[in-house]
Amino acid sequence: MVDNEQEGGIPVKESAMPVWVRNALEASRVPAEFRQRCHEAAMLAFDIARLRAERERLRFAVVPLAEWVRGLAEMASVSLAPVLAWFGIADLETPTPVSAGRLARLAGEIGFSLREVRNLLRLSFAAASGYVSAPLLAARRGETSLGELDACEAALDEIEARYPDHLRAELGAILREVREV
Amino acid sequence: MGQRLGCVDYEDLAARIKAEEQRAFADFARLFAPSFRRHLLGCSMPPFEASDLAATFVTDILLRVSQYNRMEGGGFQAWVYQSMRNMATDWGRKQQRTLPTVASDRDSSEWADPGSGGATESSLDPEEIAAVREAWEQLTDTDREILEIRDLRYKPKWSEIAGELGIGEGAARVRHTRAMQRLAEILQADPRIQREISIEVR
Repeated sequence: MVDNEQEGGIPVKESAMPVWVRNALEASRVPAEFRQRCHEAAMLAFDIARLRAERERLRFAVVPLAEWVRGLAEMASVSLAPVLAWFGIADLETPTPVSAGRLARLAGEIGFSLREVRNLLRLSFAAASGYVSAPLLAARRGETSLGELDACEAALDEIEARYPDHLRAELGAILREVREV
Repeated sequence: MGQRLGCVDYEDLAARIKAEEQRAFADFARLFAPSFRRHLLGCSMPPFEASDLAATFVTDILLRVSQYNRMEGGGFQAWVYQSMRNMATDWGRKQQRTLPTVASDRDSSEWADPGSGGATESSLDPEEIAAVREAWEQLTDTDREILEIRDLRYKPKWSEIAGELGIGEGAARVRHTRAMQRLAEILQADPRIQREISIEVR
């Protein structure tokens, strides 16, 4: 201890609790339920990391986001419910302006690029709106020199040109929510 | 060789998380979550909310470990705490709440310097933890109160501590020093404690 300052003319000494004593006190009183909860939070991150690892092994494929996520979960033996709950996703199939940001965050965490995410959401929206031919169209275009993403975008452009105004407006609102992943 | 603290090698922990070793994810939560919670409690957050947010930080930070680069300086432990502080600030901004900045001398020395303390729970012996808890229980309510405020809730300023206790700053310092001395005396007399107990001023 050292004299720190004067208090009424009397030197005031100041001390500090050693870090290990403080940690011991904290360790002795961290609630068990909090420990369990944090363990579960860590295991959730582990599951998401495994989904990401599976994604890294695969090339981009022209299927809606829901199929991608379910497929990766199956391959990685990951239970999807806690993952979807973490991202606040109730419906993986049908993107809306409200859910688009959450779906994009999930896709981004799994390892999709922004361009891929936007295409996956466009595919999901097309499928949910009854336009199920996008993957086939993309496959047809893919027979040319286009890569998968280019073929996907070309097919989606072709389909979306047929959208009525309200669907086009809704898709625009969805994509405005997806500016980064 | 990575940063070592007790039996914890934080660089090795980061590497194991990057390699998707399940045990490393669990170790991260065990090592860091209590101090996340302690930080949030120190920001005057209610315990239930601090627990919620600390668990959220565990997932969020683990998901970003792949971005950690040792060359960024400070080491993994410092990176984790900086990430946590940034997330706490973002969270406060989204909630339109201003979390007090916990950047006292103690805070910066403990969290910025990877070798000075922090998430050291695993380096403690269960006997030591028990001894410290028993010593704590032997203190008076007055002693525990001042130590709790100053050392466990990260109250950064003596003026705030004094205000909370309704006493002068000098009196608060004296009360703290005496409480610390009593705690040290109890611990020094305990055969389970083999460490040197220094209570020098920071």
